[in-house]
Amino acid sequence: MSTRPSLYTQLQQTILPRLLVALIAVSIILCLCIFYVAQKQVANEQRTYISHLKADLTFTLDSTQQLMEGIAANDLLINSFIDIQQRQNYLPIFFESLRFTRARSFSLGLFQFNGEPLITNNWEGQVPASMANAWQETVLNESKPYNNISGDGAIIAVPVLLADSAEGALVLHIPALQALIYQRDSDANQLILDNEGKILYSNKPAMFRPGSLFDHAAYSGWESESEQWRGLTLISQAPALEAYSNVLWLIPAILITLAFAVIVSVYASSHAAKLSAVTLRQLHDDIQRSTSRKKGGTSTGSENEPAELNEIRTAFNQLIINLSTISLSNRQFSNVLDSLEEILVVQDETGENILANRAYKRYALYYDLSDNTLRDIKADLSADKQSLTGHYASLSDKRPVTLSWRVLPLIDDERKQVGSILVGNDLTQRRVLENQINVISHAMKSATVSILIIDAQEAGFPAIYVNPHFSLVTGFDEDEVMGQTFLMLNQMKAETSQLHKIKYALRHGHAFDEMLICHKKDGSVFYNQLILTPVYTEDKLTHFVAFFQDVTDRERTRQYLEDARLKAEESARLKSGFLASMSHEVRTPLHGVSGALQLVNKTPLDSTQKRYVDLAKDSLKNLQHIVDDILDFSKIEAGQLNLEAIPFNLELLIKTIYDQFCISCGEKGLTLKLESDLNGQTMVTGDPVRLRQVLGNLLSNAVKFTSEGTITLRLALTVGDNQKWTLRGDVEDTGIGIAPENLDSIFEVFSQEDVSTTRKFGGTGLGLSISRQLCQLMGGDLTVTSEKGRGSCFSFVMLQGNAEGTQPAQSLNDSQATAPLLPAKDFCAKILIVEDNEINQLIAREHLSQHKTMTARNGKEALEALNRMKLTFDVILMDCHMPEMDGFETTRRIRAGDAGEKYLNVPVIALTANAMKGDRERCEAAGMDDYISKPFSAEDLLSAVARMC
Amino acid sequence: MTRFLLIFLLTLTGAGSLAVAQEKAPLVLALDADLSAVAVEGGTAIRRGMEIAIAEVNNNGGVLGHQLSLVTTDHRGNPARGVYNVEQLAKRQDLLAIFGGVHTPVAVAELDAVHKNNLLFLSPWAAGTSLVDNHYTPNNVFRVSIRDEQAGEVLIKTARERGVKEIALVLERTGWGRSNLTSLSKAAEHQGLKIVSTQWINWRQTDFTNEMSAIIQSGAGAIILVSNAPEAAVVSKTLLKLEAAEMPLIAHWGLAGGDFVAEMGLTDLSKLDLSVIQTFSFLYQNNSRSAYLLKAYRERYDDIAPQAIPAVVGLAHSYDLVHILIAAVKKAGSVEADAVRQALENLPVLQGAVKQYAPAFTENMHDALMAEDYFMAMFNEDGHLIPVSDIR
Repeated sequence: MSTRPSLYTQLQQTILPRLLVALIAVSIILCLCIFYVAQKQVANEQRTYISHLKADLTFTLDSTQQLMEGIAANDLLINSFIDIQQRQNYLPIFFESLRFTRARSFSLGLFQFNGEPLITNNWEGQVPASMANAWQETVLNESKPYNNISGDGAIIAVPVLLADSAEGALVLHIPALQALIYQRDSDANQLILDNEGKILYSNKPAMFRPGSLFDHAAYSGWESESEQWRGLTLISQAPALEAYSNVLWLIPAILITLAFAVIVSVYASSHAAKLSAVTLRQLHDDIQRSTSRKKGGTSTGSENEPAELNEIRTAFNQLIINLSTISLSNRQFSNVLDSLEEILVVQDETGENILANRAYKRYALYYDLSDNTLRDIKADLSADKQSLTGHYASLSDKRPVTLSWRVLPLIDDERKQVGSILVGNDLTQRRVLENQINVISHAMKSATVSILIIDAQEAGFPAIYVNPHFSLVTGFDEDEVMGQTFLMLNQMKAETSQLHKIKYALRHGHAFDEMLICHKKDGSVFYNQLILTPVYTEDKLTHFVAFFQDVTDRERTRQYLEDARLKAEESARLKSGFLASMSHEVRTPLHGVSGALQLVNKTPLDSTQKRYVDLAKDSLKNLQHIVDDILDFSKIEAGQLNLEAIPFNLELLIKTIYDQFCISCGEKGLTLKLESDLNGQTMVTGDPVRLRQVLGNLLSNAVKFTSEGTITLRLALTVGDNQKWTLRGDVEDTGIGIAPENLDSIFEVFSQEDVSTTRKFGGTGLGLSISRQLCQLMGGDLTVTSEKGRGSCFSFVMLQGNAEGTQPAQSLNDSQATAPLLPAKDFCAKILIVEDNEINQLIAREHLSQHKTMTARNGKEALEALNRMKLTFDVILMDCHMPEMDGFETTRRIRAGDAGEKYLNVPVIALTANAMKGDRERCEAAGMDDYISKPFSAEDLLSAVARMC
Repeated sequence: MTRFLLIFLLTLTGAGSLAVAQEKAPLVLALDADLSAVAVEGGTAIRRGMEIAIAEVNNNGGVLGHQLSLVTTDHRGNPARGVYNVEQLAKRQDLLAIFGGVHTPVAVAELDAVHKNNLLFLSPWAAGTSLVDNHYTPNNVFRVSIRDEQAGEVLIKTARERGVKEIALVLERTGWGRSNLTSLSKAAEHQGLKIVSTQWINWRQTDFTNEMSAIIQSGAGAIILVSNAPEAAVVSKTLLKLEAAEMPLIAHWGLAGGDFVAEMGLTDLSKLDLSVIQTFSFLYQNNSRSAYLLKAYRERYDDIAPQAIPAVVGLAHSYDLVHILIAAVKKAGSVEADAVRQALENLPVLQGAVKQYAPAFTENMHDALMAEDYFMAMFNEDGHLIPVSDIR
């Protein structure tokens, strides 16, 4: 035994040399790999430089071409092709101003349809023959832009289009490429050569002078990449040492690592050999000791077997005899089996279970995995089946499971099958996931929204999935879409600007949601709502999901509604305009009649004449009421009636109207009672004119329909906490009353209680309808209770604003709310009347006969009169609407000093037939001090003049 | 000499067939017009008028034993292309005359080549005064068309009759626009109207807002518009955009040479107060020739309402011009340019579709239509031009 080499010696002799050889081989392979990778990297870097160079040049050419296309579409340039007589007056100036390139030297030409020059700059003799005409076929015959670069420089030509076909061309030639490319910082040399090797461009002009020939041989040791592009050679190169500088440091690092590995290996192997020898020997001793008492089979080892191993074998022979009787019931083995996730059942040849692991027991608890089941499984598997999948319902409340079964033979030492092993895998979780994916996939396929998934990591973002609805909407089949770039938007002819935005979003991984106008495959247009969502996997952008929705119908509807809205607005505007002119047209003749009657009334009349004139005046007054009612009603109908919100004296207003109706009641022998409770307030904010209109209407109705008895006016103001106060009012009479069946219709348009009422009492039937709508506009309502023959009570509610602490506004024309200020009889002012209508002139002059008056027919005449006359006018009465120069303009000029300094602040009273809302603001804006609405009475005129003087 | 050679060659090649050899070679009428750019309707109408007249002449045995044939070239509104076309046509030995198309600038540019080659140039549609008053002696240009000098008086009169005192001009920036500036200024002074604003529009200009604002600011009561259909549409749309549709637009006939109606759309068109100067309408002219022309048109091309025929003035002018030319050739008994020119200047009274020419031309007047032959027309709701008298 002692003649055998020890384990230690053997290990040292065999392992160490091999270890060293292996380490050296690994080192060499590693070095080669590094060099290979570095070479790739260096080559890649150079190729990147080349592609940058290409991109820069392409960008410059493309952007210049776009610039030129813009100018070619300029209408002055196009016009110059037609306007051959006078184009010399503007074309050269326009042409001289054109500059498309930053290159200092360039030639520019504008050419006719047949290639003859129209105007050129630096062209003749400057542009090489190879380039001078090369563009003509493409540009003039095919009407397409053209660009080319070669040793002779760059040429860009764009067509000048008339009705989509070229009628001329704008052509730019740049002799030197050097000027076209912005230099990027780089250690590498980048060159562009023509086919003869002449340098057209270099990023280091000092080293490689443009125009000189490039000597390939001089740089053979350099790392160089080149590419042929559009007939040019693009080169990027760097000195080898420099190129590899970033990997050279790796070599010493590898050497040090290698040396360290060798030392460690030698130490480790010798230590391991020593240790194993000692351990084995000890083990041997132990086994020897433990088995010395038992007998076992013998076996002999080979001649050169290490001594230790030989001894172990002898010991083991002994041990195996012991172990074979112990069978499989080893605890560690059992633990291993129990740790398996798979179900494991070992059966002997008769099919009896020898062994089952914990997983089996766990499943058998809830599912039917009885001996019979296992037998069936085994029988099925024996029939040439590799595996078997079974579904098992739970015996209790657990979910059903899917198990995949395999059977393996159990083989003993003599390679004889002594039983079988059943292995079961739980596939439930996998099936659930598969189902889930199946459902999602089905949902996407049958979705009624177009879905496109694109790969965010490939250039151009190619499509990798498209659902059938996309094909349905756009007409592009799946195989036409797959692999296409940029969401198919090029194929769908989306607008370029939108396309840029989407490309930006794609490149930056942004979401995007906008509507695009796209074309289907058949060319028809549809509105496409695009929702683009980036998909991140572990913080890395991997995909985009794009949803397309055909919103054409929605868009059409929106446009239809927009059109309808515009039409409705137009119609409202027309109506308002019609109203304004009607108001003016109707009032002007009314004013004429009214004035003329007033003048007739001043002349000596006998009693019959007097009666006729009074009759005419009454009729006129009625007509005015009717016109006012109709206009009010039209305004309400057109939504043109806007309410004022100004502070006014409510108490005074009530008193004035009460006084007014006291007189008419007195004439008819009626009593008018006033019961007013304003809760201590005097001022409120609201529309006094409209309030007066409502009260006046109700009171005049009461007077009209009451022949004897009492009319009661009750008013109550409720002061609430908020800004809105409530004004309630009743007008109660003891008149003819209204039958119950007619109470509802009394507020309808053109409705009186019955036709006989109209005959008997007259009126338009608009008053109550207007009053009710006014109340409603003021946030309230108007209602009635009545009993036929006993009388009626009209009750209204309206909101008024809080006006605490305000004074009555001294605004235009609110003098009507106060008692008219009658002028002193001997007062005499100098008045200029500016009015184009002769009747109105006459009436105004007559009414103002106590004053000195002078007339002008329009604003121009008025300004002349003011400038020319020596006497100074005290007041100007100004008609608003006149030919030549209207009242607003004239007043503005007076206020601007056109009539001299003395008239800068002269009082101007507007005379207007337009009683439409807005006139008052226009008067104020023009600088007028007051206004009188036509038709006016002598009192109106006289008191207005008196107020101003 | 070359012509002799050509006839000799023709005789040789046709020797196989005796009948062909005896018949004289056809004479060519060339049409150089805008057939594809901005006045396609005008070009097409002129071509059809010529085709109808040529068929009529050929059916009646041709002229001096020759049949007539039509050759067209397309100048696309580009003067340079027009000149090139004339020079190509001049090389033909069988050419009788060249008919021009729409666009004064093209026709005026062609005059040099026309006279250098002593070609007859007949114009059915180009109004520039200087096209006929051209200082060439002899003058080879004969025209059945509107003449700007005369049109100016009619356009200004239209404005005056509408009670307008101050007018604005919108003119295309070409020889035609300037021809009208001259005639309109003269007419306005003559009739006591004041031109308060003159604005120029380039071919293919797309924005006219500033110019139109200036016109509205100027207080003009009407606009006189001299441009082709695309620019007329730009001007009209600007008027609508600035909510000044009520401004009367009194237009020269350029817009009737292209598809103005399609560019405007019927809705927008109906908002405009637009009248257009015309010389011919099947609703207005009612004579045997126009009746024949209408019948032939409907049989050959399109069986549509008389007022729906596009650019109808071109149809009638070219139809009459062919007949006038053939009458002159017959009178001259020759196809040589000098002889035919002299015959054109000494024609008898001739009934045409547009009017009775009594006579069409004289030695000093190569224009056949004058102010009294013009009338104003307006678009009806179908976008067809209707003489104003018919509307009222």
